[in-house]
Order: sequence, then C-alpha cells, then structure tokens
Amino acid sequence: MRVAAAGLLLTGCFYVDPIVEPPDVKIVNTQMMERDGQATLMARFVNRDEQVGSFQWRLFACATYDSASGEEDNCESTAWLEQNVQEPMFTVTKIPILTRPDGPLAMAAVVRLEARDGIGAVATDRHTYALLDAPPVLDAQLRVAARALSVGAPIDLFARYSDPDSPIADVALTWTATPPATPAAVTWESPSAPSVDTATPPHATVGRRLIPGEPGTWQVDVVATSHGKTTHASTTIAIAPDQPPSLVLWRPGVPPPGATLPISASTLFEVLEVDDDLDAYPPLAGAAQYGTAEFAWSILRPGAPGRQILDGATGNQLELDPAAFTPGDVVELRVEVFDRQHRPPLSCEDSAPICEVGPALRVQRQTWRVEIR
Amino acid sequence: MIRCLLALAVLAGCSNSLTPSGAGGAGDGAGPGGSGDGGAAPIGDCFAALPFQPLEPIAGPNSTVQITAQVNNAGGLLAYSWTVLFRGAAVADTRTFASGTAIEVPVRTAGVYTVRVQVTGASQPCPEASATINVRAPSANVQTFNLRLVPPSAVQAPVQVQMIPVYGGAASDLGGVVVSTGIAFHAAVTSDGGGVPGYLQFTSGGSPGAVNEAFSDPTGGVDIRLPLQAPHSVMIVPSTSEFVPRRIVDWSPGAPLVVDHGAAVTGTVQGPGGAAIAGATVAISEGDLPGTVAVTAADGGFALRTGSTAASAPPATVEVAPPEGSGLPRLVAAVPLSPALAIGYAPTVTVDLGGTVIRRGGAPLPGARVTVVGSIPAAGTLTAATAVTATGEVRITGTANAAGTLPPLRVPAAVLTAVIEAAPGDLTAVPLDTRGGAPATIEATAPRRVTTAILDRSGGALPGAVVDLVPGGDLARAGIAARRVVAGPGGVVEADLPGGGRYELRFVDPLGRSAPLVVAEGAVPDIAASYRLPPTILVTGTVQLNGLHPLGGVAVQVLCVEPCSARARARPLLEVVSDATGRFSLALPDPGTR
Repeated sequence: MRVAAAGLLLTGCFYVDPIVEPPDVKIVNTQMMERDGQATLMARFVNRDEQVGSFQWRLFACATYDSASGEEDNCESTAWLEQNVQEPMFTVTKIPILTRPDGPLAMAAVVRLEARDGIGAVATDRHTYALLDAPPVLDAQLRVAARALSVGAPIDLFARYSDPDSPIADVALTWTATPPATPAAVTWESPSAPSVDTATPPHATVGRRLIPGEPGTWQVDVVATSHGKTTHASTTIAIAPDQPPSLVLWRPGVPPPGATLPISASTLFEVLEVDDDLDAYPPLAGAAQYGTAEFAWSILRPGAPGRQILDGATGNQLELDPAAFTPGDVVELRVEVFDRQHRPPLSCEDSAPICEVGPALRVQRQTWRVEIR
Repeated sequence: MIRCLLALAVLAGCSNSLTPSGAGGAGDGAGPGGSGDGGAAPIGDCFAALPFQPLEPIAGPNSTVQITAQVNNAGGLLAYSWTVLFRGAAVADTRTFASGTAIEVPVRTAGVYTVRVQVTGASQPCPEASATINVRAPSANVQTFNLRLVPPSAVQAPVQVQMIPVYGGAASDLGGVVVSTGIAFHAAVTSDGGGVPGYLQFTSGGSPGAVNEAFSDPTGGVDIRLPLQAPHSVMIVPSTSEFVPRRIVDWSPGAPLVVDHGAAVTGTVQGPGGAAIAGATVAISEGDLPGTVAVTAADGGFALRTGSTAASAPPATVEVAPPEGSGLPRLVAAVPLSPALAIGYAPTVTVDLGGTVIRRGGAPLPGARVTVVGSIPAAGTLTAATAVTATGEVRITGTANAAGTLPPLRVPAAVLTAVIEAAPGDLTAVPLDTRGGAPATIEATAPRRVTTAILDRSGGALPGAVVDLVPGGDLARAGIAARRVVAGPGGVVEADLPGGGRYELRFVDPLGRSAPLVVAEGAVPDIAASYRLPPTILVTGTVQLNGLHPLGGVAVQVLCVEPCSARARARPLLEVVSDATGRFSLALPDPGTR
C-alpha cells in the first residue's frame, strides 16, 4: 500500500517522505507432494506500496527427509525448477522423481520463494515438502485384440503400465469384468507373462483373455497398485451374439440359375473357407475356444422323394462320382454349414438353393445343379 | 532368377525428388535365400535394401551371412541400428562392421532369420527395413510342391497354381507369394454366327490345378479372368444338345470360342434276347470331355451328336444305362465310332431280389438300403467301325420295407456285392452270389469297430487330427461318401466300418503338428493300430496381390506332388487361408536331409 500523507497547516505546507513498510510473503499451501505429480503453490503476499511485485520460485530436490523432524538433507545445490512470475502462484507440472537425472530418489522438495515489491524490497519464504510415492501409471486405453467380439470368442486385453519411482515388479494389476447383466459367469484365462520394454521408466505389458458369456456391453476395469497407490483404467466392449457360420469360398463354381454344371469324371466339391467367430474352416489356431465348422452334404436324385443325407460326410469335401448315376441325370448336391450354436435344420425352405441367415446374410447353404454327362 | 536385393517397406510421407537407385525388385518374389517384406518404393522416397551373401546360406558351426544396408534417397550422416532374430530371440555374436552399414551373422542353425535395420540421421525419415533369410540345413533334400491359390470372390483375380521348392530339415519363408489379377476379357461362345450358352473350363499354364470356370449366357457372352501363364486350354460344354463339347488347346484371349454340331451317330439298343430296349440312356464321350446323351425310343433307336466319327478319331467311351428295373448291367466300352452304332446285350439272366429279407443276427433290418454292385466282364457288344466287347457295371439300389423285405429288385445273375446301409453310418458290404437265384435272406454283418491312433513321428498322440476315410472298391461303386473322423484324447480314432470294405486313409493335422499322410486303399481289417504322421516343417509366406499389397482371405492349397493320380490331384493335401495381413503357414512334409 502506498502511503502518502499530506498535511495542511495554517502556516504553510510541508512534505514528508512516506514510510515504506517491507513486503511480507508466506507459502500458504503446505500439503505433501507426490513424485511425478503436479502441484500448485500459492503464497500470501503483503505489499503496501501497491506496485506490481515479482516472485521467484525455486524448487530443490533433496535425497533425505526426516519425517519426524520434517527436515531435509542432501539437497541439490542447483534448483530443479526455477520460475519468475508476477503472481503469487506457481504450478509445478512435474514433481521430481530423482534429485537429478542420474541421482538418487528425491525424498523431499524444498521450495524457496523470493518476493520483490515494486520498489525492490524483498521478502522470502521456504517450505519443505515430503515427497510421497507416485502411483503407478496405466495407459488410459486398454488394447483390445480379438478376431471377433462375440459370445464365447476369446478377447485379449492388454494393459501397459509403469511406475515412475518404484520397480515395475512392485506393481500388481487387478482385472475385473462386469457383464451386462448379473449374475453371469465371467471367464478369465491365465495372464500372459508381462513383457517389459526398454522405455524409461520401464513399461510392462500384460494380457488377460476374457471369454464373454453373454451379449451386451461389458466393462473391463484394471487397477494397478503399487505401495498402496492405485491407478485405474477401463474400457467397454460391445459383445454381439454368436453369428451363424457363413460359406465364403467353394469349388467348383455354382452354375447360374437355370444352368447346370456338367461332370463326366469323379469331381471334388469342396468348401475352402467358412467364416465364423469360433468354428471357422480352416479351423482357427491360438485358443482352446476355437473349433471347426460342421458340414452336412445331401443329394437330390432325379425322381427321388427327397434329399438323401450323405451320412458320415461331415468334412469340407465331397467327391461325386458320376458312375453312381445315369448319364443325363441332373442332381442337386447341397452343402450346409453349422457351428456349435447354429444347429440343423436351417430355417430356409428346403427348395431354396441358397440359405442366407440373419441381417448379415450369412450363407449357410449352397447348392450345385450337376448334370451327369 | 535369383533375387538378392530386397526392397523394403516404405512409409508414406517420406519423399523427396531424388531417384532411388540400386534397389532390386520390390518384393515381388522370393529369392532362394530369403525375401523382403515390402512393396514397391515410390520414386524419391527413402528406402533401404538388404542384400546378403552368400545367396543361399547353409547352416554350420562356422557359417555366417553378411548383410549390407543399402540406403537410397537419404543424405546426411547415417547411423544404423541392427536387430537379428532367430526363433524370436536375438542372435548373439552378431558382428557389426565399423561403418555400421553391414553386419555378419553367425548361422549355426538352419531356419528363418529376420534382419531389421533402423536408419537414423538421414535428411528425411527412413522406415525400418527388414528381410528374412532362409538358412538351409546341410545336405537338404528339395521337393517341389504345387500351391493352388484361390482368391476371395471379392477380389478380381483368377485361380492360379505355383510351384514352390521346399528344402528339408528347416523352416523357411517363401516371402511374397504373388497372386496376379491376370487378364480379364469378354468373349463369346458362338456357332453358326449365333451365341451358345454353356459351361467353360480354362486350364492355364499346363497345370491341371489351375482351373477357372465360367458360364456363357444365352447370347454366348462370357466374362472371364485368367492367369497370365499360357497356354490356356478351354473345355466348352454347350448347354443344348444340338452342339457337342469341344476342347481348344493353346487358346489365347481374343481367339474365337467356337463350337459345332459335331457328327451324328444313330443306332439301336437290343436286350439279351434281341428285343429292342426302350428308355435306355446312351452316352458317348471323347477323351476327358463330358459326353452327349440320348434316350432310346420304343424301337430301341437313338440319335445323338458327338465330336467326330472319322476313322482317324480316337475311340470314344460309350456307356449304356438300361432302364430302371430291367436288372441289366450298365455297358461300358471304348469304341472306334462310325455314324452307326449297334448295341446289344449278351445273353443275361436276371434274378429278382424282391422278397429277400435283409437281416442281422437273424432279425430283419427294416428300412435297410441295399445297393448291389459288381462287374461283369463281357456283358454286351458295341458295334460301330468294329465290334467291341463291353463290360457290365452293376449298381442297382432298393430299400427294404418295415419287415426288412426288399421290393422287386432285379439284378444280373452273377457274383456281386450287396452294400447295405442298415442305418445312417451303419454300413456293411457282403458277397451276393445270384447265379443260383435270389437268396431268401441276406445277412448284413455288423460293422467292425475299428480303432486306431494318430501319432506324430515320435509316437506322441495327436488329438484333434483328422482322418478322412475315403471308400474304395465296392463301397465307392455304391456311391458311399467319404467319412471324416476327428481324433480324440490320445489321438484315438474310432469308427464303425464295413468289414468287407476298402478305404483310403487321408490324415491331416489341422494344428500343423505333423504333415499329412495318405495311406493307399486297403481292406478294413488291415487298418493298423496306429499311424505315425511324417515330420513337418513350417513354410510361411505372404500372399500379395500383384506383388504389391498383402491379400487376406486367399485359400492356399497344397496339391499332391507330381506324379500323382488324377484322384489324388483333385484332393489337396492340406489347405489354409491367408490372414488379413496375407500371412499363411503350412505344415508341409519335411523332405529331410541326405
């Protein structure tokens, strides 16, 4: 506050220099800090000259701290951080972890504040902060790897984590999956061994395999714990019902409507690829949940009352020998595909040469019209 | 061609106006020793090549491979960071030359080595370069396999076949396996100036597996895409009987696809007593072409068209199927054709199995399906340019009623076989001698429970392995389909099979622990207690569309090793589908080492 006093005397005027009181400053927030964290420091500043002041904040990292006495020791002589500002407020965006890049762990931080008023008067304060253990760090997003996000299909989830001021082995992860409706069985498979990369600080990635048992939105939460500090990450996964299998590739080609495929020698009819979440063909590798598609072959002979299921023909191939027919016969050879959930019979009319199921039009049936020549 | 310079993946956003130099082909094939992993490098972009010496490294205690980084379109003071992996682990003792531009890798063990180099300090960012190097086992045998590549229908590319050499004793990587988009064209099947609908089958490059099919529409128009490999052979099978099937060899796109009416053949079919047979089907086929078909009229007469009746034409296969219920066999013979063809049955006695009871253990088998099969050496005569004796093929089917009694079912009097399906999966094949008349009963012996085990080379069990039981002999004549059985715990396979049957066994392990095994057709009692599948080596590769882009969803089939039978050729030994990155893995039979 600027103090100016003027007096008016009857006998004349006089001037008296103002009496300048020194400024006063005090760091007001003294709570503890976490390493690698952020803190906003504030000071109360009393400056009676009403001129703009300046504030020099300096932070020194110390390797020793006595919690009983609240005293530090082994502090670095060079400030870890220094900043001049015009407000009595200072944000430390990264509390030191180490006293210096190659130094010991920082156990305390000493903050020294020097406030200067508009005419150069100085006030100082200092405070020692005990540095607490930093919580572990989890990547905000879990990495999700899955061939299909559907019921029963394995979903691999990966969490990448680190700990800025503790060995990475001190970090424990807890996984929780919340199904869309409870109660519901939640199946986890064994965690894979963490893989540690060479980043600084070291990061580890660990995976868990979730087998969702019902459709809907699942939430997966991961809590990383280290020395009582925790960090949380979560993700939601939309799980669809198991889709019917779908024939993708087959040989020979299917004739267009009205045409026939002429054969005069033993001919192999085969399905080369079936798309399915779990029971594909060729079968998927990499998880015990995977099975293989089931095939059903049938034939409609001329004059026959109905299709004959070719018993035992459950593989992806069928060899059709024209010798078993009369030249000129037109027969219908049909293959249908099923998985563990979608069992025969199909909902399509028997007369339909192709059976496309569901909104995604999954092809569960294909029919060849074959002419025996 | 040996390709020793390997072009590497180049990321977008790394470009200048310089011209690349010194790069080999851009990932468009696999050299004998290895491959790069990338596509073509745009001009001006930074890219690196990793040539190596020797070109075909062989593992050994003192063997090494020297790899050099050739960086293009990058100025500046370059630094090189190398990584060499073998079976996922870093290779120890890799020596880096002083300049950093080359390394020497000890290759004591055969297999696939992956080399990566990251170049820094360049005037523009250079992507990581990598290459795979196949290090062969000493004295490795080599075997050539045919890969059939069937692209997904969404991709405009034809079916194609490639031969790949596989060296024994160690895994290898094929690098880029290129699927070409081939050549697309529109053609027309014509005759007399008009269009002809039909079925077309193109075989390319002389490979029987490289088959692409198409159907011409009613105007004869057809759109087809073929591999680049010539020559193409085209089989055209018109849909209408007025034209005959034709094969055009050495066909090339743009050449005409013309069919014709062929030559007329007329004749009669007479029964054992010389009487005309109405309703018999006569089929004449030439070579591997589908036949043309006619049905005899009331007077036994028929008329059809065939490719040629010239004296110089090779014999045609004539097949005569008698009308149902006649009890006569089907006649088959190869005949030098002439415009006139007389077909006569030899004196044949038939017997009626109507009333014969199908039993098992003395109890009737209601609903049993009986197929009588057999072969009669001289069942008739076909006379065209010359007279030829025809064999008789018997395949006559009936189903027993609720009392296990067969309905009227006339069969030749001969030594035959009855294949009986008592219930789905319940098969038996029993001798049936009808020379003395129809038997009162046919005893359908119970299927034989066959137990075998699928093992690896060391005798370890292979649960999940698959065996296809492919019927042969009488079962095949009866049209019995192949059966697939999956091995359970201990690799054990159990199946109920007809004691009198014969089967070919085709083993495959979908999990790739062992290589496929085909056991030639044999009798059911001779099926062994276990089968050891051959050792396998892993052969990997990446399907690339035109050598540029990874292509997923491609069926990769391994065909039999030539020479092999037409039947074996039709059935792939194993098959996989490339993943979204184009990668595939094949567990092939190990050719071994000498």
